[in-house]
Amino acid sequence: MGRFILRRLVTLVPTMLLASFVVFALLQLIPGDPAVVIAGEYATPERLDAIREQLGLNESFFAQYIHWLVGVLQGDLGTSLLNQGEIVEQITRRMPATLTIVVGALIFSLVIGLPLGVAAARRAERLSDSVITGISTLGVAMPNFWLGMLLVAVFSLKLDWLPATGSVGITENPWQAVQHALLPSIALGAVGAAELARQTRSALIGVLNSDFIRTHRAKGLSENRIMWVHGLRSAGIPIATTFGLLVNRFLGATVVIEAVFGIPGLGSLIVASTFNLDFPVVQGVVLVMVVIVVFVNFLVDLSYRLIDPRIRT
Amino acid sequence: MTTTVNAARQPGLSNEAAQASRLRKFLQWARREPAAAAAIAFLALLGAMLALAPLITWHLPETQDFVNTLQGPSWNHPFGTDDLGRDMWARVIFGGRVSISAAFLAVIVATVLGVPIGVLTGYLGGKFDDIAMRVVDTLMSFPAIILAIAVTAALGPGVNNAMIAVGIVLAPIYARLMRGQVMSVKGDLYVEAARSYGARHREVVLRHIIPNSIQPVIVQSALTLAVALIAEASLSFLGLGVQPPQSSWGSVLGRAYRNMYHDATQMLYPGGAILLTVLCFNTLGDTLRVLLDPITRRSR
Repeated sequence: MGRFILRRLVTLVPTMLLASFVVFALLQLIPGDPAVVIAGEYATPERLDAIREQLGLNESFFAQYIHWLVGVLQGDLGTSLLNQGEIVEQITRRMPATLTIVVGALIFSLVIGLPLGVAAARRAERLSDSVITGISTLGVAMPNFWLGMLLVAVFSLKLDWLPATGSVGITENPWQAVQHALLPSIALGAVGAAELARQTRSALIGVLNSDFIRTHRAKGLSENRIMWVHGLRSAGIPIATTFGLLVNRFLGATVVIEAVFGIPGLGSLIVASTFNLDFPVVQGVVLVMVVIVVFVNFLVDLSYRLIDPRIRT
Repeated sequence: MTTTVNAARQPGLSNEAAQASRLRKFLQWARREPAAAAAIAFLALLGAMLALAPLITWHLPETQDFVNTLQGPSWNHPFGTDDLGRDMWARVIFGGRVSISAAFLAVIVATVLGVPIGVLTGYLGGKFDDIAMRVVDTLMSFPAIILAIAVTAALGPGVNNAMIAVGIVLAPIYARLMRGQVMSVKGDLYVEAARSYGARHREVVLRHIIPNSIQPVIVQSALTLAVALIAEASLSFLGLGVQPPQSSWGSVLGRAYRNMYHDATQMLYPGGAILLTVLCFNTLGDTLRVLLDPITRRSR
């Protein structure tokens, strides 16, 4: 297993290099002179020079990239054009708020999606299956930000059960942190629960028709054990794949959810930086998100082998 | 669906008779697949409403009326008015025009970029394929909205820029899909036959490989329209997509959300429109997948 992990880690290197290159090349999409775009048409030549200096625009493209990459590898994403603050510091300060709702959404997806999928597979082609399939079809189509708004309207405005906006650090006040994270996590995770229920259902239905499940039934194993232990293990790979995709999806969707709930996380940082034309911050956030996704995909890859030891790649 | 085509081709059947039997076949199919039929009916209705927008609205979406702000539904304003007294019905209908055409723009960009890349990598294979797929895989690990926001940051906000960005982000899906298709078709007998009588690569690809591998792209496009619609709504909600005075479902929804403390019902209209349309695109995609899949079609 150790050598396997090492080998997979090595394959991450080109992927990460490529991703960092894409992130860096985004700056090249700016039409015209980036310094003029950033500082505005009426900026003084000194200001333009300062921006060119800060972004290293005087160097050739590859020199710029290498320069930036070396910084990134040393944990330096540069400084914000807006307030000259360290980008790494800004990102680490805002990261917990985003991770809280993303992790919350993942938990919600698992806790709701898996049992629904198992229940639907168990009663395939019957009424409860149709109801669950119907709900999950609706859930997949539900725009998460709209669901968030509806949740705020009902649970904050009407019933006054939960706060509508803001976020509290989990270390400061765990109870309040959970209260603040609950609605955004549900809004974000609903699509995931629906998707996971669908995938679990179809993967399990395939498995439940196989011979070894019939053998388990014949030898008198309890239906719950068959479902949750043997069935889910065999259906584990598509479920793990879906789970990995959900992390990617949630990290993207958190941008809109953070706007709905007024959460000061990475999503609101990238939106604000986009409006302020603060490109180094935009690049920093994109890079951090890609690193998270690539790392989660790596973990999903590892989980394939835990689920099915026959896999050797 | 194919059966209807066959009926029309039967010799001896007059045109009207063929049409009548085609309609009957469709109705039979609709009875078996009510959800799919409802989705197609809704999309057709939506298309007609958006096309005839000026005829079915009686206020302009931009006309402000500060005497009648935040009104509830009435005959004059079926969906009420927003905080500037603008007719919500007109805003939803005209906003739909922007949202739907934006979704199509993104899908067209994604197809035009993704399909050729997929065909090339699938057909050529080898080192080129390895490298191209590495790039495609890497692009796929970017959260789509995040990458779209980054591209809009560079190109500047605006619905066209935003949707081109979304199209670029979705292109890898098409590239992957097409590559898989081309690879499975490449070894088929008719391709070998074409090559054996001396057809050039260009001809083989254009006349044999693409026509035989394009179907999943059609299915994917219905599903991608749904994704693009949500992306448009998200970006416009954030203010990075459509710019005022133009509006789309996303920006109308954003405005309604800011007015929530005065009138919480207003966000039901644009949000409901997005949900229904996405639901119908998804259903259409699933239906097409079953209809176009040769294996499930035969067993029906």
